[in-house]
Amino acid sequence: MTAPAASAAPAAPAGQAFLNDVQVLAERDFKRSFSKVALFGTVVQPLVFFGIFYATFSGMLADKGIDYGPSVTPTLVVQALMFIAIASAMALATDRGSGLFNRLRTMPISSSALGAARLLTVAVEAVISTVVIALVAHLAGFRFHEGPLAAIGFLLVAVLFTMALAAVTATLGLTVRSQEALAACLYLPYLPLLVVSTGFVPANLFPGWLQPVVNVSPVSAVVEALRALSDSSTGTGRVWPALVWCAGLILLCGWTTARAFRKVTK
Amino acid sequence: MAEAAIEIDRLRKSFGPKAAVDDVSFSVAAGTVVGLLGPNGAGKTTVINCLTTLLTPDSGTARLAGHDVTTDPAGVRASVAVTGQFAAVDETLTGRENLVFFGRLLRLTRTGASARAAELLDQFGLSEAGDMPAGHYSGGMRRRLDLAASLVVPRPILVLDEPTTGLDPRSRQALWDAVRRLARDGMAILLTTQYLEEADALAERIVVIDEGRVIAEGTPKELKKDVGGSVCEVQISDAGDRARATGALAGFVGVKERDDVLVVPMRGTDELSAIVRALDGAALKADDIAVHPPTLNDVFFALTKDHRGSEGPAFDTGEGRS
Repeated sequence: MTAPAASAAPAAPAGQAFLNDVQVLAERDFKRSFSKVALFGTVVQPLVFFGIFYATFSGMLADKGIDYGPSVTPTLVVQALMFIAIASAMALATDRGSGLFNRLRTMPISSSALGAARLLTVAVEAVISTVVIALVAHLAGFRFHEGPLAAIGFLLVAVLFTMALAAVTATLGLTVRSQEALAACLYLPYLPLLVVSTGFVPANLFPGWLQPVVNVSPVSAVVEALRALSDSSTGTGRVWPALVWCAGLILLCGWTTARAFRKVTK
Repeated sequence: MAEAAIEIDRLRKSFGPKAAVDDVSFSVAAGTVVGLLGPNGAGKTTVINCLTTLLTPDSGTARLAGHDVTTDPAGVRASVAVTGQFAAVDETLTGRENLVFFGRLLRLTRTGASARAAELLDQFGLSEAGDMPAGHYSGGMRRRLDLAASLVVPRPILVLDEPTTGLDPRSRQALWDAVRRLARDGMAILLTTQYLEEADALAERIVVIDEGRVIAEGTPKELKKDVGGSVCEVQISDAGDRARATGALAGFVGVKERDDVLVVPMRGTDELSAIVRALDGAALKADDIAVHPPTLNDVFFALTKDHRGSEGPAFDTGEGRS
């Protein structure tokens, strides 16, 4: 070693340093995202679910005149995005447990770079999952009837919703102490949230007392937005509630996550 | 240099009503190792967390390489390398990838970080394991990787929080050698430990803390003089016999009772036979007799007996995080 007289981190412009940190942190996260286990979660799992749901229900619903493929695709996209957000929280909990976050906090890195890298990672995973599902759903009759711009919008809403969910789960991942408790906190709400929405059954077929819940559910909002952006029979005005939900969750849970992160070491 | 690399003045940090760190002051000069010695819960890690900007002190100041932890945390982070109690590396990445990762976060270029990683792997004897995931490393290899990760970019100050807890003797020796080399190269090193032996082997000066307060400070030699060399521990479980033994050993200075053990300070090895003869003379049979060099427990026993009575602090094997 040479005599360690000089300090590290030569004064680079702040913006450039931030971009460097995001890039390095995201590259590390990507390595994990593209591991075999992670790809099973983002690619294989959604396809398995698609196969199961389609094979089970499409015949029955076709008899009632419902084309199941196009209507269930947005729901299964939302489900895949939920799994991404859950895996993201587990990754954060691992880094917290290993002490890696403590080390990063003692280094000249801004914590917003950490957040940005994580959001970038879940965004890329969301794009992969959504594209894979859309391609396979093509076989089941799913089409982008609203044109290429709406298809891009479909992808953007999916990415935005993943970021919102990841912000929610990140707060849990940084707060809940044990991995088992965290897994329970993440996996328990996922199914009720998905089913008690317009994802599988229209709102008016729910019991009366449950209908308000179905109507205000963020999952309903996002499923409806994705349907509006792929199906010509609904208006694109139904995209707004999803955008409001996502923006609200990102702001609120971005704040709670930042607070939780500062407490990680205390 | 006018100012020491680490300069701590009346540092204080409370959690709720309890002061975890209370009025702690000491300094570490460049090129030296200072040991912060204390049992679990003494406040060592709180001091470290204040110095590494993980916690904000309630009052007092800490300056590292001239940067104040409260007013210039960014300057502190750029000057201090930290190796924590747990090896903080990414277990899914290989050793080499970990070092490149930390190097690039410290603004090295991709090629610069790779070259530095290779150099460090070599220096810490990890070249062969360099392309193995860190999750497959042994405890000693992980600690070495962790230390290497702290040194990717040279910084003037190194903080080591219980670096050898849980390591086997050989790995510990290797880590000690590395720390000595770094001090020789001019780093200011602050080391926390529960082991007097470790502080003794590495540190020029030792700061002993207990319940958040500095209770002693000095060179290892000075501290051990307070304790007075090796001790002979005579274990007698029967309380009556033990009382008689205390009488039989009345000729020895400073005999203390700790649980069912009589601790007899020794001035030389020849005293051992004198102790045995004294017990023999009283027809007493000890359950166990052992001679120990002074341990941290003895140091604490000597230092804390005034304000705590006979109950010494509890040291565990170092599994927990203090």
